[in-house]
Amino acid sequence: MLAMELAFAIGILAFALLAGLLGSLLGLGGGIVIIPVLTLGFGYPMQTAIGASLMAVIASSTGSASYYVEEGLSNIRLGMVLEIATTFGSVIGALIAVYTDQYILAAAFGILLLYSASHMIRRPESTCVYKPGPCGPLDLSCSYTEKNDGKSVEYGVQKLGRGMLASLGAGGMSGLLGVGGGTIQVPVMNLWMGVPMRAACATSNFMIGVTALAGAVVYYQFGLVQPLLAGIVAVGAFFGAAVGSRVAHRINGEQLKRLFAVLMVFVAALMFLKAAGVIA
Amino acid sequence: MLLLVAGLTWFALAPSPTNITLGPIEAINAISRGDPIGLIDLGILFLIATPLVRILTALAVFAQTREWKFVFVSVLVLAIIALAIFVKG
Repeated sequence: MLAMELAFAIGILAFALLAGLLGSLLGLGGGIVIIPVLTLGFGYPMQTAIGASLMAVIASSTGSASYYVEEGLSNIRLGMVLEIATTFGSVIGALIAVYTDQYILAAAFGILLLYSASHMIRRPESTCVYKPGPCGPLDLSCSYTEKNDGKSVEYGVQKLGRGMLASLGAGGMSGLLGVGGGTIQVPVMNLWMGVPMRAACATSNFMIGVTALAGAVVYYQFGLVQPLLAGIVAVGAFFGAAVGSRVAHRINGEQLKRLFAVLMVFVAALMFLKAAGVIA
Repeated sequence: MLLLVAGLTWFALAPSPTNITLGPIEAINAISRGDPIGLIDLGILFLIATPLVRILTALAVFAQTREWKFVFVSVLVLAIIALAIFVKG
């Protein structure tokens, strides 16, 4: 019996490592891997899997966020303003998830997987010229230095209202489904708000941990964080992400992304079957 | 993270039947009773608190540079997280 439990724990640890690794290689949060593995593979209820996944999101964002802040890429002011919306959304999302049937959550997660797969294949980038200078009552303009050519990139932030609304949605999704929300946050900052891609990724990374924290607190309060499971998943994701960020530049991401997108569509189908009660 | 690794190693050596979160005070009591879940739970609480440190640091920097609008923004974010703590009553 004990040997079986140990094998179970090692299996979860291995998948959490893989989730952290893939997350940092593909630019996704680990949640997109962890939740299907825990629910479809190990039979955990959606809410328990989400509680554990939020711990993985916090753990894997901790290391990379401090790296980006040190590099001066994160726009802390913009991140903090958008966090008002993401944390609020995250708390609301988590509260909805706590009282929602797990089959509905599984269906919602299936839709998220399909969105992430399509986003991964055709990741559009803003081609507009970045405009320096403030906008509105808060000056959120920022600049960073390109590592390759030493050039300074200055940019202003546009359409803050729309960005806040989208952040509310991204936070809601984070709390509801246990993911970081970067797949929404990064394109919103880049395409709508005029933030250069590298700064958008770094700012999103800074925000993800805080957004997940707000949702995680709700899950913890409602006893939906199983300490052993959450501990294993957090440790696995942390070390997986640490390895991933070190080898990311050596791997051809494009091929891996296409392969993974196909896998995500397959897992989405499984999630829909789970939602329909066809599989346990 | 170190707390979590230590707690999980302890659990592997001496498994415990506890499977619920305990909260900070009960977690410390559990450690003194020799229950490894206490240490894991404490590790989880520290992990949850890590992003909080990031907000507090930003708040301190904004206060130092007298950017009061951003001090207000940071306090608002902290207030929303506090709301999450008390949401269950």
